Amino acid sequence: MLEKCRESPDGDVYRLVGSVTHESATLLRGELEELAITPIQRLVLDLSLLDFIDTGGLGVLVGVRRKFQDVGKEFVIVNPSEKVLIVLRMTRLAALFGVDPA
Amino acid sequence: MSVSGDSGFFLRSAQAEVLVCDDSPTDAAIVRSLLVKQGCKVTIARSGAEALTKLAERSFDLLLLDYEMEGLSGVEVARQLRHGGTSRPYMPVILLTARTAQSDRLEGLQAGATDFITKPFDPLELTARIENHLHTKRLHDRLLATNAELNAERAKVRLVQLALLPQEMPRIKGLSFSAAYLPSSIASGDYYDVIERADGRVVIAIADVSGHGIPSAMHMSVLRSSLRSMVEEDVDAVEIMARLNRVLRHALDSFSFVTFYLAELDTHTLILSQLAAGHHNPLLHDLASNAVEELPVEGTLPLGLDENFQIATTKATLKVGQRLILYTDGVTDEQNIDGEFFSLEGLTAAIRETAGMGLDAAKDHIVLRMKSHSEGIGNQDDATLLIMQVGP
Repeated sequence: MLEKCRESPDGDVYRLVGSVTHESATLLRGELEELAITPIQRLVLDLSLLDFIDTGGLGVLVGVRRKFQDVGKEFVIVNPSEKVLIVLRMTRLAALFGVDPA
Repeated sequence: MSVSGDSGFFLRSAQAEVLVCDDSPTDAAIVRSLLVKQGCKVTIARSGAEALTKLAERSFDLLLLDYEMEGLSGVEVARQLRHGGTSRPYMPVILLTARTAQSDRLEGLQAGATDFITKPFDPLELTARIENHLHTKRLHDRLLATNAELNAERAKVRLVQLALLPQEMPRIKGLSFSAAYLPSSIASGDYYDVIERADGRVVIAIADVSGHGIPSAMHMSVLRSSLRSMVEEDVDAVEIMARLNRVLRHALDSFSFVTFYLAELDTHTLILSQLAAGHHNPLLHDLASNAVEELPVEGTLPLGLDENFQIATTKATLKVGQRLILYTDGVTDEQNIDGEFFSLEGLTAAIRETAGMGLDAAKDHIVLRMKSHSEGIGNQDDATLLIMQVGP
């Protein structure tokens, strides 16, 4: 589930709560794509409350990141939980998203 | 049955079969003549019991029920039909009644009637309502037929996909293989393969297309044919990965990618050269010590994402008496009823239980452990397991 946390001049912060699987991925993709066409310049997605994400969900994050880039905006993920960080590391996406502390 | 471009009147192209249940011969005759003029084939039942008997023998497109009858009332018949089970195809049930009280209508609706006509009825109204209900019935039947066709197609996709997987593992001296392929639905986005190169090296691969179902299965088949033709043309592993990345970048939309692990084993030196694109490390099970370890592979991004694709080879040396276990995350991500994952710990524990077992038995045991973990919910994602044993 996507929730809005706050707006700031540095970018709007949203967070993902619960889990993202193939089933909910399409819905999430729609919501995030819509945000790409609003005036915001930077979207920060906080993952601290995300329990689980599978390859379908990861695909959404990767695609949304590209979509934002295509329109000259920034999409950033922060604070992945340990489980999610493991998945991001395994798929080597942690480096792509800049969330690898290593 | 032809489909008319008109929004309604299927009656004109095919005969509807209507059952009229009324204990008054006069009323039944009136209704019959109206329906026959509309082009319907009419059967008459003189009582609720007779109607139920006839409905048990064959199906009708529509049922017209008189509300007040001796013996079983129309409402009672409707009620019994509703509780008769859902295997019956959809059939509109229209109650003919002189009663206009709201409570009677409510009773009829709750019993499962679709509509009411008040007696004495206006013939035009009866005709119009019947046409509407028959239209709904036709749409319903068409939907069922389409579903049946789609399911037949999907079953064929599954067969095609299964034919794309290794039908039997290559017989290579000193090596044996066992695999489990468990799609979460009709078709899977996972892939595995074992190919012998011309120079005797053995290529093993496992991949996971993000998403599942038929689109993923199609990408899986592209992956397979690309890989196999490149191995046949003797393309080296690093170049294979780079080309697969290009192929998939074009084939996949920006929300999909493929995690891929490819390794080549030199059967003389037992050196395993590994390449991992977004795929997790394989596991190595030493049968003598019963130790299970992750084989660390320096990997890169999954395939299909980045045009600048770089990958490095990680080498490991295997020993006789070891099993290399490749798997997709559908295995470790299996959840049980309480939402707990089978996880790497669960997989490792299951593997350690197989030390004394033959290879196929070991694979079966791991699958069993995984399935009993998710008992009650079934597998949520495509899961694949490929095990290579070094040694006799």
